[in-house]
Formats: sequence, C-alpha cells, structure tokens
Amino acid sequence: MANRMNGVYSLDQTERRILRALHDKGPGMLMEVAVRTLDFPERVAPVLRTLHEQGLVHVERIRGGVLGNELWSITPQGRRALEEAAQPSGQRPAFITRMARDVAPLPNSSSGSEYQQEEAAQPSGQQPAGTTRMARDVALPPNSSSGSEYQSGVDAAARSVPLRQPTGHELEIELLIKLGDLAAQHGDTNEATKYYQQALKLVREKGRSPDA
Amino acid sequence: MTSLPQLLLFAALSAAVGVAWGLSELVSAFALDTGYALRTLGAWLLLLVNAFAPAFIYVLAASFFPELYAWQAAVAIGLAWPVVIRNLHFNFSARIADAASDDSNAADQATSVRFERIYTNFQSLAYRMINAQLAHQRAGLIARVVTDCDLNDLEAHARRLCIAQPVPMSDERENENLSNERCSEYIDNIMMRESVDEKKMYLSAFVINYFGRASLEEFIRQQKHKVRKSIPGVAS
Repeated sequence: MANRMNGVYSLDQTERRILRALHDKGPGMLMEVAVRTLDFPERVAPVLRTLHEQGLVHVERIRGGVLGNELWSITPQGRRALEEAAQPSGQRPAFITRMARDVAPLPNSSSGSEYQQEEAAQPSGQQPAGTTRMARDVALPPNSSSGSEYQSGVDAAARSVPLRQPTGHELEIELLIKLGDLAAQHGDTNEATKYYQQALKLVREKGRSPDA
Repeated sequence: MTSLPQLLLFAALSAAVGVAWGLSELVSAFALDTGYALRTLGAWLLLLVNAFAPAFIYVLAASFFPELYAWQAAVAIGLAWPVVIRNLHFNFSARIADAASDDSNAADQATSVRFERIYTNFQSLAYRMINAQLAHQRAGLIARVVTDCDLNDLEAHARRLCIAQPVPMSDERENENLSNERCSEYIDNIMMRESVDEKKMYLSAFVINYFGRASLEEFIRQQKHKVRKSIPGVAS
C-alpha cells in the first residue's frame, strides 16, 4: 500500500506499474489499466481504489461506456509519487530518507505524525517524548538499532541508504541534540526542550527545502 | 486608417497563430493519439478558443493603439496571448497595489487569479472531453472485434505483433527479452479465461494499448476482407 512518510512516497510494484501505465499512456478504463500492467481487472481494481483514496489517481464517470463507465487517470500528486518512487534509493537524499524512516508510523499507530501528536499533547516545560526520540534518532547513524524499538515498521529501502558525510545543517542539528542531552543530564529539562525544539525546527526546515 | 477587411485579415492571422499554439498543446498532451484526439469535440473547442481569444485581443489592442495595424503585431499577439492573460493579471494587481490598502489588494489578487483559472479550467474540461471520447472510441473498437472477429485470428495477430515489435514494459525497460516473454505469457493467461468474448476483449485491449489503435483497425479490415472472400459470389 502506498505510504507517504515526511513527503516521501513509497509504492509497491503493482502501484508503481499502474501509475506508470496511466502516466505513459494516459487515462484508461479499468480493463485497459489492467491490460497495460499485464494483469486482470479483478486484481487491479482494489489497488486502484487504494490509490484513489490516497489521491494518486482520479476516476471520472463517463456515459455510455461499452466497457464500463469509469475512466482512470493519474493526478499531479500521483505523478509526484511516481517520480519519487522512480528515484533509486541511493539517489534520494540520505537525510530525508532517514527522516522518512524515523517518522514511519508504528505498526499499530493510526497516524504518521507521531512526533507532532506527542509534542502537541505535552504541556510546555515538559520534554515531549516524541521530540526526544526524534532527536535521538537523528543523531544516531542509520544502521544503529539502540533505543529504536519502534523501528520495526520501517521501510527496508530506507535502511539500505549508504552512509555519507553529514552536511553542515545536519551537524548543527546533531550538536543541538547533544546540547539538549547534556542539559537533560543536568536535570534542566526546560533548557533541553529548547535545544530539542531548535533541532526540530531545523529538521523541519531541512525537510521543506527543495534541495533536501 | 486601416480598412475593416485588413483588420479582419490581421485578426485572422492572430487566430491562425493561436490555433498553431493550441495544436502544439494538444500534440504534447496527446502524443500517442494525436490524430484521433484532433477529431474530437473537445479538441475543436480548445482550438476555437485558441483562435478567437488572440483575434479578439488583437482587435481590442488595435482599436486602442492604431500602430498595431501591422501583420507583425498580429503574429506577436497570436504568439503571446496565453502570456497576455497572465500579464493582465500582473498589471491589474500592480495598478491596484499603488492606490489601495492591503486588504483590497488581497481581494483584487483573488479576482485576477480567477481570470487565469478560467482558461486552465476550460483546458482541463476540453482534455477530459477528449479523453472520454477516445475511451469511447477504443471501447467501440473492442466491441466490434468481439462481434465481428475470429478469436484464433486475433490471438495469432497479437502474438505476431509481440514478435515483430518488442514491447518494453514500464518496469523492465532494461530487459526487453523478459518483457517479450511476459507478453507471450500474458496472452497465454488471457486464453485461459473462460468466456470467448472475454478473451477477445482482453486481446483487443492488449493490442490497442501496446501496439496502437491502427493495429487493431487494420486487423478488423483484414477480417472483413476475409469474410467477404469466404462468401460465395461476393467479389473481393
């Protein structure tokens, strides 16, 4: 099933084929979409419905269709998802892929934005658990497993991202987290929260920037 | 002073350039089905708008600025008319920004954005009409195959096309041999379906989507010819 994690789509092979078929050959009826992916409608229909729920494809009712009345087409969001999925994982910025992995929802979590939820739930002055976890994971190397009990549902492709030298932006984030850790060790949770929040802000900025 | 026939001639020149612009949009949007797309109502509507809008803009501009009574100006307006729409938006907003407060500026910007959106909405309506009509045409062609053509001939035709024209699959462009194997495997899977009509439908859809409508139309023609030949007393 197509997931969106921190702006990065992950599509399975069938989804990618369907989106590619709609992208390359234009809108088509269910049977045509199935044939384009060398498959049959009974298998393609549920995938199309899922993609439709996620806004990656659009369906239009047409009148008097001999072979059905649904015309499927790819949406701009679907095009974006396809482009992202077409990028080999090695070409994807490692930092963003790691971010996508770190914010992957828990297997039993209904929301992909665990950090934001926890942050919003915490009263000011207390250290939000999500922030600490994110801060810790941003500081951890991609292959590190210590303290990441929630990583069971992570994207396997993201794990395979090769290690590279962190950029100045990432180093700044790491330093802020370390300062936060030091403050927390000294019992100054307010100060620690400030550092973690600064790091979080930078992480979000990095996530939003087009070159990220 | 320029005469009315001359003004109309220049306007027609603007319209012709606008049509060429619209055609290029259609060609890029329907690269695989350009010929068929151009024969749809949606395409004609889009081309008409692309003809009338620059002609109207030219007549309007020439009535305000007499120096625009020249074929060069007509061509320039024809080429630039989609840009003109966007420029009108910017000019309009900029003029208001000098005189009005922040709030009214925001309202005016919203108005001008809507003006630009009219064309975009119209264009997407035309594209939807074209796509729907193309889908109807394909479905009609498939229905004709189901009623008029022989299954074995259709299967042979699809297999011949697979051999003659390797099909690069979306995900396996780097490995065409594999894709040909998959094509043949897919035809085998189709032939395992229960209903004859279903088999014909899938095979026709397969031919249309991988080898183009012309391949299936040619097959239908061959079948008609074959049927005519098989009827005693009917000259070929």
